[in-house]
Order: sequence, then structure tokens, then C-alpha cells
Amino acid sequence: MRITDLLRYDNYIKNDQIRQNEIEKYTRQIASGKKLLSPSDDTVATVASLRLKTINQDIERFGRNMDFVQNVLDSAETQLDSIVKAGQEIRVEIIRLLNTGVLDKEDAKVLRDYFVNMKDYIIKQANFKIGDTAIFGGIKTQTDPFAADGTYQGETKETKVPVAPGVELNTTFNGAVYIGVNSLSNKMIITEAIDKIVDIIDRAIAGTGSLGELNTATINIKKYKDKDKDKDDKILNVKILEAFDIGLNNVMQYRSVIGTQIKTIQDLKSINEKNQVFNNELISKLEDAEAAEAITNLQKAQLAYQALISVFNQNRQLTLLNFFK
Amino acid sequence: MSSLFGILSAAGQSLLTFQRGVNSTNKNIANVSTEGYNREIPVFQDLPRSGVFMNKIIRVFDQSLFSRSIDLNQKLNSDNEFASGLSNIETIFNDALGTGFSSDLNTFFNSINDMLIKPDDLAARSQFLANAQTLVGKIRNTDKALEDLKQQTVLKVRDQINQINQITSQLAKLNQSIKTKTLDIEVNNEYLNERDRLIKQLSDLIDTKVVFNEDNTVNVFTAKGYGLVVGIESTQLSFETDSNGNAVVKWNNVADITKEIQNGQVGGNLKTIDKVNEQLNKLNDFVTVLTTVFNKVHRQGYGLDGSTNTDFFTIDPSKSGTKIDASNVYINITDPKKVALASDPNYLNSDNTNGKNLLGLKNNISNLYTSLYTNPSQTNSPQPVLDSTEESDLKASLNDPTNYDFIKTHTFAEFYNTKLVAEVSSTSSYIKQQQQNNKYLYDAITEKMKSITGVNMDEELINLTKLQRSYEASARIITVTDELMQTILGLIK
Repeated sequence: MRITDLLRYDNYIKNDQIRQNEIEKYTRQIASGKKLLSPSDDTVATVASLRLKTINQDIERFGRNMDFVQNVLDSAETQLDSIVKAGQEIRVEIIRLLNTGVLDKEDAKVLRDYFVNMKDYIIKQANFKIGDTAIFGGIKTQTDPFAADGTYQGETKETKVPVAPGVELNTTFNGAVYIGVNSLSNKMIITEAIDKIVDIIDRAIAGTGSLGELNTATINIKKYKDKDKDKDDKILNVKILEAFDIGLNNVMQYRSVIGTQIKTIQDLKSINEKNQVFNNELISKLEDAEAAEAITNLQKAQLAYQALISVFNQNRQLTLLNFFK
Repeated sequence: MSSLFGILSAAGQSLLTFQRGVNSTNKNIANVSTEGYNREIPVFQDLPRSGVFMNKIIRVFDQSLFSRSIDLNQKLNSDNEFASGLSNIETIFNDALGTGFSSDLNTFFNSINDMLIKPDDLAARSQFLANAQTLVGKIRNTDKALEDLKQQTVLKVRDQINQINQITSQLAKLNQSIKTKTLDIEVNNEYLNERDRLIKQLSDLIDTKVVFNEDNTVNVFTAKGYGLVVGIESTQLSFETDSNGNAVVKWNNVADITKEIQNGQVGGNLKTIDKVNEQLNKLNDFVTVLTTVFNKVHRQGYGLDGSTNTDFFTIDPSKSGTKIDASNVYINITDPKKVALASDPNYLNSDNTNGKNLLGLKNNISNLYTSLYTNPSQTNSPQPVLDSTEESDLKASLNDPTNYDFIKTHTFAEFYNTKLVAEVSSTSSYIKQQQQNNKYLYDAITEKMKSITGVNMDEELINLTKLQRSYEASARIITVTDELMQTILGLIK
């Protein structure tokens, strides 16, 4: 091929551009830390990393929901736990009351005051609020879920928030189900049993009744139907202790339901955290420049550039003009 | 039989001939680095019964290589412009480097979560409004950036059409000069160089097809055979804009050839305008669907202050328009209390059902979220977000009704990823590849062409030496002849 002067210079300019572009590209990669400088560098990787970022953002948001929900669930579990503990103490006293058989009125009066105090305590626990939000009144958060006499005045509808796709957990609870309310009287079953005991003691003290009624008196109970878990909506005619036990068992049962929900959150959290780490790894693999690779490439480009300049420098002196005097 | 005077005359003729030869070499050396210069080769011929004369000066030129280079050049220039246009669009949607609104869209929806936890939390509501504001701002900026890009590209086309008209009228004039000055070889070669340079410039700009005539004039045609230069006449192209601000190119003020132009910078820019329009249409449809469904669900809920039937998005009061799109989208509410999270007007500060429906639109715009997920044990029938009339009205208002179907079967985020980012980016990477290929081909052809037509200094210097020696020899003959004459004249004394 015939080599013309212009061709030689064109070649230098062309290759010089190529090398400078390479140097610019790897410098930008190292400076920005990114391999994908524009979406068209790798369309599939760009879109994949966009999707992964969306998933990670979702996980982060769900994570914040979870922290809040877990706080609510922990509080709810604590409240139910203290109700159970109080209930167990009361139960011991009820059994003592039933077994003793012969109690004088003074003793009965002491027990009566104890029962009334415990009832107030239980209702207070059931009316627990986080900030100004009552958690056992369902969606009705601004008033106390239970009146002083144990009547439920909350809602059956609950507030739930999503903590994962398709998984929703409570931030307020239907007190009628969680605390156990007798749908016939709309009162908390535990406190209704206590009321009955107190009533019998009062009447015995007043002389209009006898303490013996404690063993014979019955209460009609119909539990609130929880559509998800409890199919039992029969009316039960049970003795006081049995009624109390139904109420107490109900609270214990729902304490464990909340415990399960807390477990769900913890499981989801650890899965999400793992997923987030995996996603981040993949995003980084797709997007980030491999520093060692980019630096090696930069050095290669620099070397080629230097070689080009040096070759140009040597060749430009090769001309017949030098010999024309 | 020649006389001494005959010898003198022949030698004088040779001197003049070699002078012209040196002049031609001089011209070659002077133009060693001139782009588009075709080297000249003086052809000497012996003169019967006399010395030497310059028969012709050949202009080294390969017509087939030139035609191929023109063909590739127009494609390459189209690719260059289109690739640069696409890369501008890509810059607008480059989420990795901070443009685009993928994460803002996600943040907008995700911040609904914060309100769901505590629907009466004004801080969370304000934050949500701020995020909505950011999303709308980003969308409006994206729209403006695309509009600006379109406008700049249209103006570029206008300037390029003017350049084309200048070039074609110059070519027509050159044709005339070439026709009338065929006898002056040196000048004619210069005209031909100029002619080729202009053709190359024209092919930078637009589809160019050249027909070489026997008298060295050219006829130049553009796409679909519309003549730009025929003989000594040139036909002008005109530039207009239509009602949407798109460029319209007409031939001779009559035929609209916008769609026919594929190559050259004008072709690349017209393709860029089409792509920007496509992108704008998709962006507008995206916004129209997002705002329509969001407003529909928002209207069904109740704000903290009991307000209901409120649109969340509206048309910017300072803009005109009949439907919400990327150029006029605006947040209708400023009071965080008006964000309609509740479905139950009795529990405005604790019910989050409508908020969940709003959040649900992120992943599904077919059915209301709470009719699908909230109570899995309940056998609610799925409740559609839009009824069939609203759906068909919405589709009718879109630039492309399938955009609604896409979002319905996928998500807003996926529409953004696939339609707004991936489609442009894959076209861009394809065009870059094609540009690279055409560049290699073009470089190869021009290299080949330059290797034939370009000047090599060493060759010229050797030629120069050759001519110098010949000149010296002729001059020597004159001296010798002069001495002979002196000898003859000396005899007479």
C-alpha cells in the first residue's frame, strides 16, 4: 500500500483519540466507582440493578414498619402477660375462697376489696396506650377500650400495616377477642366473674345471700367469634371459676398469638436483611467498577498511549527533507 | 535535419515544460496536508522532431471509492448525530448517576407506609407530601429536559437545511464553471477538488447520491431520488415546524420529504426528534395513568379533617391542558390533613384502609389492595380500581393505550425500567455498535482513497530532484548550443 503523509498523520490522530478515550473511560470508572457510566453500557444490568434497588428500598421501608409493629406487639404482649399474671394470682384466691367453705364475713370483705382492686388493675392494663393511641380498642384508639365496669367500648375492626408483601400485622387489636369479652354482656369475662364473686360476697355481708352461692352460681358466656381462629360460638352456662378460667385462657391464648406475630417479624427481618445483603452484592457486581481491573486497564491504556507518542516522535524525523541542502 | 536554432528552441521548450512540472510538484508539496486534495501527476511526452512537452496533468481520483465513501459518510454522520441524541436522552434517565426518577417514584409510594402506621401523624403526612412534590418536580424536569432537547435538535435541523441549500447552490455554480473551463487543466483540477469537497460536506448533512457526467459535472440527488443539483440548477429545501414543534423538511416547497431522510446529520437529528417524541409520549402516558388511578382511589377516602372526594394530583393552574401529563402535573393539596387515608369517616385518625389502597397501586392498579390482601379469609370479590367506562376513557386519552395495559399487567416501576430506560438504552447501544461498524468501514475506505490520492513527500522530493536534473540538463544544452553558436560566429571574423 502506498503510504501518504496525510494518512500517516491521520493514523496517529485516530489512534491518539482511541487511547485518550480509553484513558478517559477508565479514569471516570475509577473516579466515579461505577462501571455503568450510561444505561446503554449494559441495558440488562442497568434495569436489573434498578429493580434490585426498588426491592431494597421496599425492604428498608418494610423494615421501618416492622420496627414500629414490633414495638406495638412487644407492648401488647407485656400487657397481656401482666393481665395473665394478675389473673393467676386472682385464681389462687378464688380457689382459696371456694375451698375454705367456712369464711367469716370479715375475711370475705378483705378478699372482696382485693378482687375489686385487681379488677381495676386488669382494666387499666387493658386500656394501655402508646402515646395517645389505645391498642386494645381496635380502630377506635382515642377512648379507653374498657369502661370501669369492664364493658368493651372499642371496635372490632383493627388497624393493620403491611410488613412484607401480603403479610399484615396489627398495630391495634380487637380487645373483644384479645382480652376475651362475653358477647352476651359485652363485658370482659375475667372481670365479669370477679363482679359475680364480689356481688355474692356483698350480698352475704348484707345478709341477703350466702357465700355458698360461690360454688353454685353460674354465668352465661358466649365468646366473641374470631373469624380466623375460633369457631366456638355456643352459649356456655358455667360456674364462676370455670368462667374465670375461660377468660384467663383466652388472654393466655392471644398472648401466644402475639408471640407468634413477633416471631414472624423476627423471621421476616432476618430474611430481609439477608436479601438486602445479597441484593447489594449483586447491584455492586452489576454497577460498580472493579478497582483492580479498571486500574490495570488504565495502565494498559497509558502504556499504549506512551508507545504511540514515542513512535510518532521517532517517525516524524524520518524524511528526505533532512538530506536536502 | 535540425538547426542550432532548432536545438535552442527545443531546449527552451524543455525548460518551460520542466518548470510546469516543478510547479505541479510544488503544488503537491504545498498541499501535503490539505484534506480532500487529490495529488497531480504531470505527464510528459516527447514532441516529434523536437523536445518534450507536458501532455496533461492527471488528477489522481478513484470514482468508485469516492462514491462508496460518500455512501458510508452519510450513514456514519446519521449514526453520530443519532447516537449523540440518544446519549442525551439517556443522560436524562441515568438513575445510576443521579438523574431519572426511579427511586423518587418508589420513595413516593413507600412513604405511604409511614402514614399507615400512624394515620394521624402529621409529620409522616407532611413527609409524604414532600416526597410527592419531589416526584412531581423530577417528572416535570424530565419533561422539560426532553422538550429542550427536542427544540435544540429542531433548530439544528433548521441550520443544517440552510447549509445544505448553500452547498447545493455552490455545486450548481461549480458545475457551470467546470463545463466552461475544461481546457484549462490546472484550474479545472482545482474545481474538481472543490466539487468533491462540497459533495463530501453535503453527505455529512443529508442522504446524497451522486451521478458523474462525462463533462465532469455532477448531478446530486437526495432520498427517494429528489434532485438537489441537476446540471447547473439547484433545488432548495425548506424548513418548517408543525403544530407540535416537529421539524418538517420540504423539497422545492412542495414535497414533504421529512420521513424519507434517513442519513446524514439531518437524518440522525430527525430520528432523534422521533425518539424524543416517543419518550415524551410514554412519559405523558405514565403520568396520566398514575394520576388518574391515584386520584380515583384518593377521592374515595377521607382526610384527617373529614375532607373527601379530593383529587391528589391536578393540572398546574399556570398551565393549560385538558388532562394531566408530565408537563402540567401538580399536587392539588398542600394541607397534610387532606391526604385521604381513612375509608371510615368515623375513625379518621386510626383507619388506614384507603392509605393501603393508595400504597397498593404501587404493585397493582387492577384491583384495590384491601379487596385482595387485607382479610385473606374473607371471600371478597376483587374490587377494580377503575370501572370499565373509566378504563376505556383513560385508554382513549393516552398516546398509546397499550401503555395502560402494560402498567396494569406489570407495575409503574417496571414501566419506567422497561419502557423509559431499557428501550432507549438498547436502541442507543445498537446505534453505537452500528456507528462503530460504519466508522471502521468509512475509515477503511478513506484510508484506501487517501493512499491513492494523497501526497507522499518523499515521492515528491524525488520527483523534484528528477525535474531539477532535467531542467539543469536542458539549460546545459542551451549553454552548449550557445558555445556552438559562438564557435560558428567566430569563423566569420
